[in-house]
Amino acid sequence: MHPHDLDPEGEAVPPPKAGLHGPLGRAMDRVDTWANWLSRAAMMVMLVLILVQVFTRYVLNDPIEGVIGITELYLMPIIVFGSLSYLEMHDGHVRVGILFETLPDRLRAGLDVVLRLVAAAFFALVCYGASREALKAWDFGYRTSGDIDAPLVTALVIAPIGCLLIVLRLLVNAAGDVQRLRHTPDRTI
Amino acid sequence: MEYLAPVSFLLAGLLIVGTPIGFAMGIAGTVGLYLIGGLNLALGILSVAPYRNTASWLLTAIPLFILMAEILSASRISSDMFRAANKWVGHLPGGLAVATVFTSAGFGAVSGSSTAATATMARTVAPEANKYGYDRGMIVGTVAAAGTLSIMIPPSVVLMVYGIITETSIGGLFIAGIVPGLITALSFAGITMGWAGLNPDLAPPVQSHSWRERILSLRELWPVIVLFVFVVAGIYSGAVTVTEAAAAGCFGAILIAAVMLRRMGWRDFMDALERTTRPTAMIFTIIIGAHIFGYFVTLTMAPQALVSYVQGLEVSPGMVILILIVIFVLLGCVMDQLAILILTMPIVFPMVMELGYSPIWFGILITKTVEIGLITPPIGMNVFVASSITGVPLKRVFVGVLPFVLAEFAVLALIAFFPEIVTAFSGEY
Amino acid sequence: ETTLKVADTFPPGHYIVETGTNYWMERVTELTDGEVKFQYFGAGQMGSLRDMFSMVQSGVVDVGYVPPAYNGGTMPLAGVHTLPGLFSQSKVGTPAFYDTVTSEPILGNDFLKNGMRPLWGVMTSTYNLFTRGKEIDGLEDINGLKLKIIAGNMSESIKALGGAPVDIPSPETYQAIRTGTVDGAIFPTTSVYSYKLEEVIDTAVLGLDVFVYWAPYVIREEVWQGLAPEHQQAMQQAAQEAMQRVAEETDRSAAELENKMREAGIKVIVLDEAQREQVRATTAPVFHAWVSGLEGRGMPGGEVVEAFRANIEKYQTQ
Ligand code: NA
Ligand code: NA
Repeated sequence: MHPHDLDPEGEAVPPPKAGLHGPLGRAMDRVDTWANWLSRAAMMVMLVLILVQVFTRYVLNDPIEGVIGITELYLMPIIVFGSLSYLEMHDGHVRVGILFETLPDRLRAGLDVVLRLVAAAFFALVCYGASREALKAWDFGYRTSGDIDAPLVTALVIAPIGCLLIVLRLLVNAAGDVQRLRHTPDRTI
Repeated sequence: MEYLAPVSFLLAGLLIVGTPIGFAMGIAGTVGLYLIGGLNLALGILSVAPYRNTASWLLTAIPLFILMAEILSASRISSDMFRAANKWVGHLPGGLAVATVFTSAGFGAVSGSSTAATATMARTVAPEANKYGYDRGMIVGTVAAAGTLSIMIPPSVVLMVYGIITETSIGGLFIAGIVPGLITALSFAGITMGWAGLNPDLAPPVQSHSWRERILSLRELWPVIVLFVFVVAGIYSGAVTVTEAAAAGCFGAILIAAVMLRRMGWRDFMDALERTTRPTAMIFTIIIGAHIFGYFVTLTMAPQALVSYVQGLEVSPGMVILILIVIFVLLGCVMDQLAILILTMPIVFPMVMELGYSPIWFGILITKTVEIGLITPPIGMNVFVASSITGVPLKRVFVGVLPFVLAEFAVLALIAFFPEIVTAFSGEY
Repeated sequence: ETTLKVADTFPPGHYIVETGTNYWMERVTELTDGEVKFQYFGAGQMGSLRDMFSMVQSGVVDVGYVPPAYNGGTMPLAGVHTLPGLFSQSKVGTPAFYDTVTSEPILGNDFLKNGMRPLWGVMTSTYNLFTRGKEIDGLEDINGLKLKIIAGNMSESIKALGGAPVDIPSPETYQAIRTGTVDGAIFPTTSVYSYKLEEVIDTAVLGLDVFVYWAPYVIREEVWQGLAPEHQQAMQQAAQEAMQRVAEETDRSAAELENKMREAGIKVIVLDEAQREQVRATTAPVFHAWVSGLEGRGMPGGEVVEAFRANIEKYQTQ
């Protein structure tokens, strides 16, 4: 949440708060924004599918199958992992502000560099573990369980991709903080 | 057990220096798992927990209930409600704040998330409050506190998560939340009036409106009433399950905003989706982090030890509940609310059931402590949200919510001592 | 001395834990003179039902509760027990399926390949029909009913019987029946009271046996191979004893609950042998579809059905 949100008539989607000046930063912003669009699309599809499920059951007495499976296996993970790094682009993962807010700007940027590198290491580990899991599902030919049948790997790749994006985003943001530390005046992205 | 203290300090340290909450819990949990069982144990959990915790049918209600609130916000229905409420109560001492409380209660009936409700109300109320020269700490504090009404008044993501973890009827929890929610709203209104009565400078009077204007203003309320009835009737008529109700609510909100009021176009809808993806990603990051940290805490065997300790105390059941409430309020100060539920319920809930208490009553009691946690320092999510949207410094907002925290404790005691407030209406469920 | 981490997702006090899991752990410790001990994490503390497979496989826990009914994509052959109408009583199904899963091809294809081995497991009571507000006299009346199911073979069987399967989570069943989202549920007889369904249903159709759930504990193969042979033997002995205890308790409480429902004024219909035969005939296509689906993927579905049927016959005549 940001002060930009204050004015409902104003620009609804605020400009990114963190990031890197230059082509690399721009490319990353574009990737994250596209991932967020996937997220939004997944949410729309989910909404429509659930409504179809209700309609076919309540009105037609002939419920369609597979809505729960598709939602659990694909749509919910896409909604979340598609927006993880987008949210980080807006520096929007909620923090305990009290002490942090009172720090001088430069110290804050310095701390941010360290925190982002640590968080990047964490998500890299998650990415590695989740990729291993996806590869195993591929090697063993695992299939999904429940009301739809598909190769399990198609669902398990969502998390590692999302984690890879946030690792890259955290590194880009850390680089952006370094820029800030060096007093780069122009932070337009 | 020996790793619990150092890893908790690590978590606290990470939080203090400003690590996002979800990241901090994930990082500290990973370090803890590594200490207990090496890299293999940590990787075993990291490779599974993040995906699994998002791949949930029941949790679809989190993004969908946020989306519903965002659609109402995008179509300025929340502003209409606030204007109508002002015509009725604006002339009272602290009128704008009282109107904020009632608007939040009404908005709570169509929003499942306190984050979404607080954000919406902050955007709606702040400009008006500036216009009338209200004390910013007081009015933003009111917004933050009244935002918690969204998780007691149904629908509620917190009640859903509690219901999922403890396998308690979510429909029953929803019914049970209505009366405590209304009592809380009334107590909040009372607090604001008393506070403004004592310090009229904080809350200058707002112009009074004629009865004609008031009656006419009720027209502004129909979208919310229609939507609430739509969702509640959907659930209790059997047309939709509780999980599906969130989707039905979004559908109703879209119909009202786009078709009936013609205030939402395709772009506004896309923006509402965008505004939904951010808090959704934020909440799920916290859920994922809490699970990773939760695995660590479980593997230390500390929770089991704590439960056997409490059970060995030989105190009355009422005393156990009191101890639990104190623990939950303290945890609520320093931890995220969903994280607390995820970490503690598997351990605490069976113990409470053994004592013979109603699962629904206990759920409402816990939700009350969650409300308190949302507005107490140092981690008070609603205060963070309200402060960042309005730009009023955190410290002033925390001062502003203080009277409401006291009211919350009073209502908590009321529910604890008079369980009938809860059980009278949810008996059948 | 070895300490093994055991995890499941049963709520505390669940009868399988009380009569089986706790007994098995204590018995193994006793038989091994305290050399094998356990650290128990119940009630989903180590993850939900769907997490358990990975938790065992990746070594987070050593012994875990991994039901094939929820892991069809990774344990396809063991799903044979979810086919309809195979048996009625746990004391038949439990030992028969134990023999089936501890032999090839299921043992290798569904367990060892995934790095785990079945220790012991019990068949719950069979799944039957519980409805509200519908006049039910015979099998024909299932036609057009919206029924809560678990996706998979149960759903196929209900479609074969003319019902409309609705996939909703178990905790929502009470409300869904009460408000009429569904007309009823396909539910294990022994779980009716734990979900308070007796308050909302008016009719029970028993002997439908349209599904049954197998609740097994598995051990990571690596851990198993690291155990001394006498410890392995102790585990197997304790497993046999635990299975018998739980199977007896399952059948006993199913019979008791049938009476309890009658006393509560619920109309209880018990299908006779002719009607059961009719269920088997009507749902036969579900068998064919299951077998040909697996054989299409090069897996011996038919062989597994035959092996399980032979084992059922063996224990039925005992
Ligand atoms: Na609400
Ligand atoms: Na707090």
